[in-house]
Amino acid sequence: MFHTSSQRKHWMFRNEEEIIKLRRENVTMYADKHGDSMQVEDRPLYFLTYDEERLLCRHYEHLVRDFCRKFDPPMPPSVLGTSCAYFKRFYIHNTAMDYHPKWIMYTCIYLACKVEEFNVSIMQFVGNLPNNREKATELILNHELLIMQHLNFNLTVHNPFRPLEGFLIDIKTRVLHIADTEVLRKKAEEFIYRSLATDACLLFAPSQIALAAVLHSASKKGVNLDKYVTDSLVGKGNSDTLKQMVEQLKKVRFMVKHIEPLNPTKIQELEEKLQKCRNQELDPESQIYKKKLEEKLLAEEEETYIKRQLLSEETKRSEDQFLMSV
Amino acid sequence: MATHSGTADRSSRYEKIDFLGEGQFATVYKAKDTANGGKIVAVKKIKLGQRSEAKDGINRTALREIKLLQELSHENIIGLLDVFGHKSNISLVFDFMDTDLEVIIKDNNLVLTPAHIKSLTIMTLQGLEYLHDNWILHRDLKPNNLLINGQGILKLGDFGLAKYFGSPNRAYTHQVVTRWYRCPELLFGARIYGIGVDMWAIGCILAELLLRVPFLAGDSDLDQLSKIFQALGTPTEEQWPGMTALPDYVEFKKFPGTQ
Repeated sequence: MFHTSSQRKHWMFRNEEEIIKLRRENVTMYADKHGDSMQVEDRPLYFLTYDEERLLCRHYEHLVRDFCRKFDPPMPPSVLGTSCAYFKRFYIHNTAMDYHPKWIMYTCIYLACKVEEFNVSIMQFVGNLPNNREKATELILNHELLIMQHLNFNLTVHNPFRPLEGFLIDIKTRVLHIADTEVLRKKAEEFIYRSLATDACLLFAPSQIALAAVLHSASKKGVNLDKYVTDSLVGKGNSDTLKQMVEQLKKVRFMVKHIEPLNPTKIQELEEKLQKCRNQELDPESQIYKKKLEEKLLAEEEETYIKRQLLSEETKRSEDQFLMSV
Repeated sequence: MATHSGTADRSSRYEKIDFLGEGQFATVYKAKDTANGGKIVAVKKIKLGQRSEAKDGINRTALREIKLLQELSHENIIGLLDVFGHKSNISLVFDFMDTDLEVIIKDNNLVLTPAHIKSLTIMTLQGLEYLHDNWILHRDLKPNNLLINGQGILKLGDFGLAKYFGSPNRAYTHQVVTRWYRCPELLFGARIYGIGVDMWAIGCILAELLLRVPFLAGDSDLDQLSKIFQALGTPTEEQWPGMTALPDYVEFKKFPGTQ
């Protein structure tokens, strides 16, 4: 149930300003931490600024949607929606300079496949990548736990696709002058897909996004649903609720209508900038990261070895005791 | 629940007291939560094993438990108190439960009065009602998964097969629920089903509480159906429209059922 969900509790924000504030903090904190030898006014030249990071993340969100749409076998829409939600949630509390979006993106999608019970093996998954499949396998699996931790282990995502089905069924049963609700489907689905390119899922309930999609589609198709909204959904005499709802729906439609286009040249520049300013210790391709990982694995092996030793000693001791007691 | 930071050192927060059991996917320990006044908890450490075994990454059963239990909070549902990753392992921290219904049913020194049985059944049903209200099917109800603590509170556990339901056009696998508690539609191979699969299991469990032996102990899927129909009578297409169209439908002898 959305009402009692971890999504509503932990991953919905009051307004856009609140989200912007959190994201700004991530980039400022990173520049403060890694740029203490630099003049404050030089930092934006070296580190990604808030706007630059946003553009880059939005570019990668676009890649998420693109990868999902081309995925073979075809993915149910909920996997796409959940992937996008994970990616957005991850960068609410992290910066792209610490964690490069390239690997976060693939891991988010892989995790979403599993959580949404779209069962593909890791082999099938990386089969959708053009090259470097072996390396990708390793990196995706290495990032899985990290992503879950940063998602606060809140894995259930409520997407607008299910409420859309609900609205279509509801309209079919209650609005008798619409002979075929399927005419509303295409435009409504397109609207929801476009909403994934915005922060709508961090600000609105999935049913609000779905209703905005249905109403958008209805207005394009010249279908009047006013009476359905006022009488069936809100109920007569609830003018305050109606006003609030209309306000929310307007905001969703505004967001989806005003998506800024991505500038490829600018993105290329930012990729290069990120390559320089990113956290080497967290870069899976850097020497220092590989060394750390190796050390970690060694320590783990050693620990298991010690544990085994202790255990066998213990068994031996208890066996000795047993023998003595005989 | 888990916070965004400091998951690294959480394994030291839970002090192991005792080994509780080992399953296919996990090892369970009794532990003391040092950050919470020494509260006794159960820590389920998911096995990752060798890289070859873990080739698809974090175990799907564990993911199901995490994704569903994070959304739930009810007295008769096992509480997931914490989740943490340590190195390449993942651990789930649950309410500690002293025993389960299977142990109780099998212990012939225990007398179960009608009041006991009513109380156990109502707790099971309340947990299940909450689950169904949240659009979740448990799909593996059996005495072994009904856990009981020292206060006598029963909680539904093991959400490794549980699933959201109610999405239109979604087909599910029929290979769920331990055979003795599996309903006829699953045995006939239904791919679209609902809360009936859990309700059927509850009925079998209630009968088992009264009989103290499994009510319908089939030794194959066909034998299971046969046992069901012997006890309850073979249904007809009129009584159960659509039955004969189910994927694995086979005709059974017309049992009248026991009255």
